[in-house]
Amino acid sequence: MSGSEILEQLRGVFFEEALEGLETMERSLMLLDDAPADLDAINQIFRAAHSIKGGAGSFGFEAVARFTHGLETVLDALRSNARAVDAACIDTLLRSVDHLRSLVDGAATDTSVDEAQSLALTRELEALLPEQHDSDGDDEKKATPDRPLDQGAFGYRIGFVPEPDLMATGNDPVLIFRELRTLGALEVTPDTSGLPGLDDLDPETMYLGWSLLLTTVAEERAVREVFEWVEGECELTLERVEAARPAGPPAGDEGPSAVRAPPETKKGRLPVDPSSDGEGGSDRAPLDRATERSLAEDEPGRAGGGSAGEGADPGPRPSNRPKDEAAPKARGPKAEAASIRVGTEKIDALMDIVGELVITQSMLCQIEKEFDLGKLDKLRDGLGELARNTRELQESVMRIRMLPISSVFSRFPRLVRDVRSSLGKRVELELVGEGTEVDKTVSEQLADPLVHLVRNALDHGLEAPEARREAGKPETGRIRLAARHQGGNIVIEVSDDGRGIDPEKVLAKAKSRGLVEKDERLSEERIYELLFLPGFSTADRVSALSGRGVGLDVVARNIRSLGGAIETESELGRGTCFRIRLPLTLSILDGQLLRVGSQIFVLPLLSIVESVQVDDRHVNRVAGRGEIYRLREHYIPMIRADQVFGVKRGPEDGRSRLLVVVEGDGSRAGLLVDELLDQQQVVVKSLETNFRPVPGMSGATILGDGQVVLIVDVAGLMRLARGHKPEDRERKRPSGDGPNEMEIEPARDEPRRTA
Amino acid sequence: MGAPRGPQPGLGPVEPLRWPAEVTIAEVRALQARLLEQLALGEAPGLDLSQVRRLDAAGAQLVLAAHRSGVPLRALSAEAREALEVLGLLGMLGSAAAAVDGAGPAEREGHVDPRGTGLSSPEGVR
Repeated sequence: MSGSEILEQLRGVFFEEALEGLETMERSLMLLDDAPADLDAINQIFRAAHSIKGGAGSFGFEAVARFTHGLETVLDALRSNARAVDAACIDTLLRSVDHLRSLVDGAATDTSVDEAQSLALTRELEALLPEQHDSDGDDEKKATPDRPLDQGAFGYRIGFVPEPDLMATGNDPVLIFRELRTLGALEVTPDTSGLPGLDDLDPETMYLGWSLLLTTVAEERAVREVFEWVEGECELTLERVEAARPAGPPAGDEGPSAVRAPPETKKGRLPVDPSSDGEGGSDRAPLDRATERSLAEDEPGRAGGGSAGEGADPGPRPSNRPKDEAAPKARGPKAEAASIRVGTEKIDALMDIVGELVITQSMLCQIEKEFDLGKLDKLRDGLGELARNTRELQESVMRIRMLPISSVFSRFPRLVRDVRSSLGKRVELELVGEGTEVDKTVSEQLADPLVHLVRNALDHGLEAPEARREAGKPETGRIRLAARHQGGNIVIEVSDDGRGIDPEKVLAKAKSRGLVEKDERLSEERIYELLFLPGFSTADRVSALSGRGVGLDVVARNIRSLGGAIETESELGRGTCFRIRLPLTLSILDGQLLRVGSQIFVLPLLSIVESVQVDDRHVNRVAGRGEIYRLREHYIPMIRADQVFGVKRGPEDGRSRLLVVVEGDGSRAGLLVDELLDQQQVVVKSLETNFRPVPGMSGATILGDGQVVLIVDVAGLMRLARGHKPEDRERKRPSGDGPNEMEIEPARDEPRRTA
Repeated sequence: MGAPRGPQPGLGPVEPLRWPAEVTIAEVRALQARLLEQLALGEAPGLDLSQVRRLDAAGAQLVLAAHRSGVPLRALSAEAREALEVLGLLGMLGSAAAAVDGAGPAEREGHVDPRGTGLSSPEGVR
């Protein structure tokens, strides 16, 4: 990998981590909204901001770093109790997070940033700072980490001697010290005695050690956290020192590592070693000393730094880095699609299975070498084992693509907060099953539909506080977002305890718009399905959030495009629940193999409602509308697969006798095929990528015998079939979005032969 | 290690070796090789930190080792601030280092050692 490729990769990691950091900030701000004294939340926000700032600085994203610095200053004031957390503060911080996200996106896509917005928000952030943090030209009063603390402050004397291979593991003292500097004033004295000469230097080995004096009000835990990532890779001593007590050198550290006060030590700083008078070697900067003895022999290594530098083999250099600074990453939309963070336990499981697969393969090879009929049983056993290994391998790989739904749910606390205040409603959001895992692709495409549903619940579902009170309900409404696995699906429910949906009102609206016949009676389930028709809305008013009838149809379309379904339950006055059912993954599907003529196709099992033997008496031809089939009390369009797919039939093929009832895009149809073959899981291969788009087909797969077969896109097939009959006109329901089977004229009783 | 090679600090090489923007663990081995090669040729190029936008502890170690081996260091412009900040953070610039990071204009300017011997003293930085 070239240097530029590495850099590009690291930048990608930065963007990923920055976006994760922003999510953390937003999530923690929401926690803070409920519990303003939550110091952990403040610290989390601060650390996330600090990471982003550090990473942005490293990669030269100045606008990001500059803006984050202002944000960090406010957060610093919050965590030091110099400023109280209140709603206005959280509002500004949330908007700052939004803006920071746009800055990060801008950096990721190399697009210009809104400097005016940065400036305006920076001013707002400054306004949040207490008096002593105001920018008044006095640097000493600024909330910089190096600002000396007041009398009474305390601090820590830290001895830090890294192992020789510290840097080889991706850690860097620079990052650690920067992190320390955020906690307070930091004085650093290195022990460079172990550093060899230039020609003996192994540049990847750490030869240095440090003595640090940190003046801070932070707790020891916070200081130790900074070194969390180098635990076991360094000698670390931490000694608390009080302001009034002169500080001696840390235990076990002496000479060059002694801490001394810099000449500019000011009132309030920790007292320092009085023995350091500026004359000793220890209080001189290494480069000072180096200049003086530039012609001299190098000194042998000494304790501490010396031991760290001896015989070190840097070894490989993985990329783990200190928690905050080092792991900067963030993800623009592009990066989001490009990478995934996987828990090591999943990788370990995968490795185990691969190990077993190798053993099985080896066993089969052995059988093949000495094969005779007597070994047939062994061969069968081996093949059975291979099948099991393969299945486990597939499941294991699929698990790697699975992400907790929390990555989607995490945006809703913020959404609810923003919307409830604009609506003047009191809302409590409950998230359930956040750890439920779903395929990454599904997860990414799920966010928008859920946002629609939650907004809908906020705007139309929940009543205003006074209305709730009158209805005998708590003033605070409740929205519940829950996820769970059920069979091979993930089920997500968006429910509220609001006013519910009035089916009569929905039906009346549908009738008034001509979507339903005046005298037609529909089941409650069917009535709710009307809500998902384009442009359908029962809202009495249109708000900025919803009510224009745009949204639920998009929700339904998105869910269906993911191979899922959505259903509605509602009770007037008690609330509504939208239940979404989705496959766990899109890359493998349970398929039904079927034969049409001599061709084999795969039909997604989820789209199959039932299959019936064709009864010719139920086949009808409607002028200008093609063929229909009477299936019990309903009529469904009949699609002759051979005609639509262009399969040539020989005389030996006879007539298709099997009707597979399929559902797609909310409509049902009967697909006339010759034979149902096996059901099996198939790996979906993209036709667009590997061949070209094929109307009516969603992809292709390769069967066990190597045959490439096409996977039917049921919704596309229906559109294709309609295209084959241009005169086919649909009734009032907008095509493709009707929730159930197409409604057609009543069937005639007399049987009709079909072609 | 033997005596430092090349011109001694203070003699002021005409063309300091400009370092890349990143002097990090990924680059240090190659830089060390270049330095040793030039020292072996007696060119003693000196090091100009002005181009360095990123310096890690490995890079700082190399700077220090090079300096000890007789390679003069230069920070010819304000742009050297990044490198100086890291050297200061690691305690390698002495008390003056603290001033490099975010203090007055003089500190931000970086500093040129009038003697051409590199960053030899706090005074040299200020």
